[in-house]
Amino acid sequence: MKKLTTTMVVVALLSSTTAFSVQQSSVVQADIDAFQGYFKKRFPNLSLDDFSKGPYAMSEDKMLQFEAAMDMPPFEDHVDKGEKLWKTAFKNGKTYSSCFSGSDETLRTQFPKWNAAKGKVDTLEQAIVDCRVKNGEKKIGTGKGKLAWMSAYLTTIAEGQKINVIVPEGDAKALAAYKDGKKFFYAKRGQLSLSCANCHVDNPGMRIRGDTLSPALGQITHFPVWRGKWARKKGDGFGTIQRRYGGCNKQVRAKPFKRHKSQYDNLEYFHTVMSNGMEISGTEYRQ
Amino acid sequence: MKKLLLTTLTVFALSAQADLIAVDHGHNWNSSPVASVIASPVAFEATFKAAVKAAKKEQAKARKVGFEWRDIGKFLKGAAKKHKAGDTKGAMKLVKKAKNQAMLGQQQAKDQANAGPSF
Repeated sequence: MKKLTTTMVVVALLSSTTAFSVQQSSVVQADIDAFQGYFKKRFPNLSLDDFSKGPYAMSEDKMLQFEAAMDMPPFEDHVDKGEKLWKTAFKNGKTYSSCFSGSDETLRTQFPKWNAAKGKVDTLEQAIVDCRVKNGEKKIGTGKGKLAWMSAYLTTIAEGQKINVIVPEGDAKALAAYKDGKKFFYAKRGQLSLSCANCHVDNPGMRIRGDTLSPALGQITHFPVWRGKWARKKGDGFGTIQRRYGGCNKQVRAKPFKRHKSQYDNLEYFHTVMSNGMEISGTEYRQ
Repeated sequence: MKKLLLTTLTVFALSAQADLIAVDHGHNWNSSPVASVIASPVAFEATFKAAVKAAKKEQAKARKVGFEWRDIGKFLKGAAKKHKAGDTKGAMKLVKKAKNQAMLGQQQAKDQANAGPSF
């Protein structure tokens, strides 16, 4: 009887562990291996985490410029403002942290994540907006401004942690969302008929007019970024990854999609998964 | 010889006259249907509205498949401005451009249906 009880307890424990541990889809893992393998083969002198430095990892001169900019980052004040906003309680006394599980330091690496209940991808920026609404506060704009500052703060405190976005094995809807993002990434669009991959997989390190193209691998590790180009325009220079997607689409003369709708959410899901295992490098400067 | 000369001259004079009669001095040499309706503002209005409607329909189709091009909306807005300013030819040209780009976007969606990595 004792043996039977022990066996049943062990079985119950094992099955509960299986139910709670979410495994990466084997299809997705094969994609990650192929994607990262391609970049490692193409740039054998770069380590996996070097790719997070984008075009700067591919040119000594550019790296010097980057390092000089990062010595006194032009965006520090806004990251501090983001921290203050993040820690300021809502009118009901709760804070943003109350909407999330785990410590603030791990939030960046938790997103984007598959929300099985809603059948959609949740992004960190949308989760922050939803948190405000849930606590009786007004929505704020996505893409830049206050939301980007808070998101940049969360990226900064997550520095050094590894990306581990999961597409749950056996979840057909999650896999479909991932595949949708993948298709978006590889599909040529706009009047210039260029895909994300045409620039950031086929031609990283090459020049496009005055700029050097960054590799898709590791692009996600430092967003939101502070861009000189955005700072020259109206605004403070900050932008989220989905702001950047919109900019890229415009550049190939395709009509950009609204932020935090399925198109860009799924793209962010795919894009982030491809950089699994890379360290978050904190908010950074970009040209 | 005199008879022959007279006959030739008569034939020449008659044929030249016939040419002159045939030429419509109010004719628009740009024979496109758009240009031909410019003469009639009412007719142009209907043609322009139909063309804009058709272009918007194609734009919606391109949007639905997720491959709308960036400048279609700009072309349609530009067309409306030109139309208001009385530049019927320029307005129609932009509407056609918008429709064409919308159709190309739809074709692009079909072409990219199986897009994927090449490595």
